[in-house]
Amino acid sequence: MLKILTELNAVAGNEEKIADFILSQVSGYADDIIRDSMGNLIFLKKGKKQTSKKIALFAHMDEVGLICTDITDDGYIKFDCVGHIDDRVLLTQKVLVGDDELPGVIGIKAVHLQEKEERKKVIKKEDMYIDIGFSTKEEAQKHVSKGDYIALDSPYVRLNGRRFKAKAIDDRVGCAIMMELMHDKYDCDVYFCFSVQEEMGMRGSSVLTRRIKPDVALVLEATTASDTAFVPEHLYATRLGEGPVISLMDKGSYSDIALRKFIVGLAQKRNIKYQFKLTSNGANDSRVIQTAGGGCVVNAISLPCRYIHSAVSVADGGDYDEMKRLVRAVLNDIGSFIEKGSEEA
Amino acid sequence: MNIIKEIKQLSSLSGISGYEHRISQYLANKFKKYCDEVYIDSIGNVIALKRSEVGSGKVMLEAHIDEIGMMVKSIDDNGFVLITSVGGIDPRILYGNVVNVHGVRDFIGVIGAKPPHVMTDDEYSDVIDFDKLYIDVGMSAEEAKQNIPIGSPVTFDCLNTELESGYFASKSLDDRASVAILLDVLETIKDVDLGYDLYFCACVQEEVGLRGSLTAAYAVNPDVAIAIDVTHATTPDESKGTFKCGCGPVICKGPNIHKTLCNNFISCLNNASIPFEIEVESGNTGTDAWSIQTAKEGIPTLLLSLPLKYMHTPVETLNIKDCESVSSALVEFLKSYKRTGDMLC
Amino acid sequence: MQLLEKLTQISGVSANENEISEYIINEIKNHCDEYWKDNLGNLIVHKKGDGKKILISAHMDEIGLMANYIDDKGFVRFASVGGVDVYTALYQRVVFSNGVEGCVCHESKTDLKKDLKFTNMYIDIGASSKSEAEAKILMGDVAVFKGDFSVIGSKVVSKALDNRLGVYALIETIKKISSNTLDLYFLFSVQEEIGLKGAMASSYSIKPDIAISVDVTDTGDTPGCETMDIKLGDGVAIKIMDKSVITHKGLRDFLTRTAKDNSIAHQFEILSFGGTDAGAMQTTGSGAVTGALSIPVRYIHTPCETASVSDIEACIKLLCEFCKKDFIFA
Repeated sequence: MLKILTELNAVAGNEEKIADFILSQVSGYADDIIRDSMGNLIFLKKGKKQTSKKIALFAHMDEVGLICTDITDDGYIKFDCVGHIDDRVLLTQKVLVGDDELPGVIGIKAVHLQEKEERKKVIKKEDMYIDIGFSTKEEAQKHVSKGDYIALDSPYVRLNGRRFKAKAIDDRVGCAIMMELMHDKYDCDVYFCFSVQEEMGMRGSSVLTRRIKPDVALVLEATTASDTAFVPEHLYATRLGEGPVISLMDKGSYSDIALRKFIVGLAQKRNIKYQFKLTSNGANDSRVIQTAGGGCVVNAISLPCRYIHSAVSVADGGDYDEMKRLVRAVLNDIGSFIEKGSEEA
Repeated sequence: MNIIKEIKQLSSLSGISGYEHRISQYLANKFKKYCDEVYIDSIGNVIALKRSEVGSGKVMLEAHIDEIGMMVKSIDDNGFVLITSVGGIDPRILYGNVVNVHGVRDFIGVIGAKPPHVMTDDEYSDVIDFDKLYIDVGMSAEEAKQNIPIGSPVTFDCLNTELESGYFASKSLDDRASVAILLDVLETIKDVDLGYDLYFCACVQEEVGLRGSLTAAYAVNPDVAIAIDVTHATTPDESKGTFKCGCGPVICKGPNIHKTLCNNFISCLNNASIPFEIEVESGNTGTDAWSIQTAKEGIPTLLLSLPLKYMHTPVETLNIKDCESVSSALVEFLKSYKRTGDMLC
Repeated sequence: MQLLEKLTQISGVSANENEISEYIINEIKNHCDEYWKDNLGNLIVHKKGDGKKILISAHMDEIGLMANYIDDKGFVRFASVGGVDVYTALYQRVVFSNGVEGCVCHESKTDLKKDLKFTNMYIDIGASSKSEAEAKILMGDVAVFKGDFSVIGSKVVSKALDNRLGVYALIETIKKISSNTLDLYFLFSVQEEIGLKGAMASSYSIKPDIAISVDVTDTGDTPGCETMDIKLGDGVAIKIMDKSVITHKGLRDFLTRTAKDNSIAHQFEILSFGGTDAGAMQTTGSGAVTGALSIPVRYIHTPCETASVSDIEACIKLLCEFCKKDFIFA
């Protein structure tokens, strides 16, 4: 499933393909389905018992990518990034252009032709171009228009052991886990929310939150792992192989403390590996879910992922399994958390 | 309607962000002529409704009424008026400008700085920033303190200059030109029942963070919304990503824009043989379209722009032909638009 | 002043406001019709009336630090919660919620003039090994800066005057108003320092007609400071503009008239950085007529925040007069 999901293309603002796929796979497990005007998907799964509080799970469908801004007179495509991509990881990438997914490459002047000083400079995306094999603007315009989305092309590949590389691990892992968890039935009503445009600044989830107004939400994400060469240990944000990451705080939000303690307690009880993130950078859908609908208890559970936002993101299958176990455990036990909450209030 | 006359009138009114009451009063009266309901909301937006007798559905047209400017933050012991910026204003253009200081009444002032003769060499080559600029209103400290309270808004003197070949220069054409277009559209369709309710929203505080449109879009909650704003026109010093004056409406594409709505709009213009250009914005468009899109439970949004030279200066320059063609484009679309249930992606 | 002293010394880092909100509940519970906490921990206090729905907010959180890594020798790495300046944090004493104390230090090879940042700083909690440190604190625990409360002449000095001054003003107002026609909601909001979160959520659910936030503001009366027309002791500041809000002119004029009619010292605030709850309240949902009152404070976000007693009193007086009326303004 991860292979299929990561190889589908859904640059932020252009999530139809993946949304269609998810619909085709899991509609049968939902009691109610909403697809809103932005393209968000909501599946309600009724619980075995009546509950007063609304539980929601969030994962975002979109990925970072490119968009065509212009076509040059000799048929090359100029582009801009959709979502944050480091210019330096773009050179010599393979890409797929437009809805028809025409293959192309991001070219660069051969190193032989560059002056000595030029070789030391970072090449900016404004100076890059995509070659899809056309030689005139007219020819290119028959197949490509300004505003067409462009996805990175990077198949899912197993590495040694349980590691794998793919694009869009952020956040197809969240989608995959939610799709799988939809097969089961839980005590509480659960809203499974597949959001759009997270990479644009959590655009989809704000709209979703205002529609559902959840009381408790769990965001399933992929997060930076920096347990790599040349990084001091206290700056490893997270580590591969050490289990899912339970959020403390990042640039976007401070996770609910009671919910965090509840999740940590569950993980310990069930012997599920987990870790905290050692840095406070980045942000995810929690940021808007927490406030958009009048206030919601939120935490995020994330899969550690190296080289996130590049075509060669790397993650660990063991972490993925542990993350799924942990989320499933939370869903099964969330009733006790809610009751405890209401007793205290 | 004579658009240029209306633009002149609107541009001569002053209203920096947060101080738009002169424009909102003027517009409320204008809208009342042909609209069924007009009100000013809590933040100051003017919201006008032209009702349909036969159909249902809601379309919203939006333009912002505030302009960039300055605000009095202090009066020094010699009666010089110290200022801060409201909205994105380049301090380099201020020195030597004539301004209106809106104190207990309107006073003319000039923006001064230390004369070049007494500057050191370093100072001479430096940018003169806000902390070194001041307004000279010709008053003593005592007079100034009495007549110019802290917080008084300051606007550029209105030039209203007609140049050759349909070009026109003035302050605050961003976004009063679009407001004039709204009025022109209203006058054109005043006797037509469009088959749905049409809302005109003249919004405040765009220049300080897209604030007014947030509450307007939330309250109106339309089926589709079209924001009308200005975009950068081509000048000798910048041709990249800009548009030649006279090119007609510029239609934005990207994650901020609803794809189906955009395609419908484009085919409508093609049918009516109205020329247009496409602009690609890979993320935040920096216009009210951005805040409208995620208002309430999500609103399919379109951004229509007209090219403007020298944006955020007292000599903003446009070609009147562009205003006319944006207006006709809107009218064509409004006449052809039919509510098609929920506008899905 | 005893109440103010107590309020400033309670720890309440953003998202950890339970202790401070419990303390507030104890103060106000006999002076209101109802009160409750929402999902985020916002405390809402309701004094019923038939008039317009008014929301008056003060945030109760303060800035602080969060432990996020403990090294082999027991030194604690941290992240800031809210706008903490690296130079201000350096060599400060901090206290964790469980009472554990520490000092903020820097890797000694760091070039202090150029390269001081949180990632090369740490907290020394006096532990000599990882296990000893882990017995004292856990990852995710938060600490506040120490800053005792003292009265110096007509001024008070303490940590967390931002914004326990606002909290104090609201509590005093709640206690002083006996019969109100306005429908008054007092919001003690959470997580203001990390992005106006509490006010955002709360104003969405309360949907007020009119909203006023009470917070602190910078001053322009200290040696070598930026030009700003605010002086300590010149009265409560009626906010015109900051980075988050331009207040409603009609409401501002009404507040000004109320201050003038009751001889309450006041001044006007234009703050060129920072924001407050008002920014969130103005644009949430279909919006509210929004204003803000500020109490001038020198050295904001340091342990020596300084305010004038007379400004605090002016703020409370203006709030009370405002709440008494049932008004109409253009």
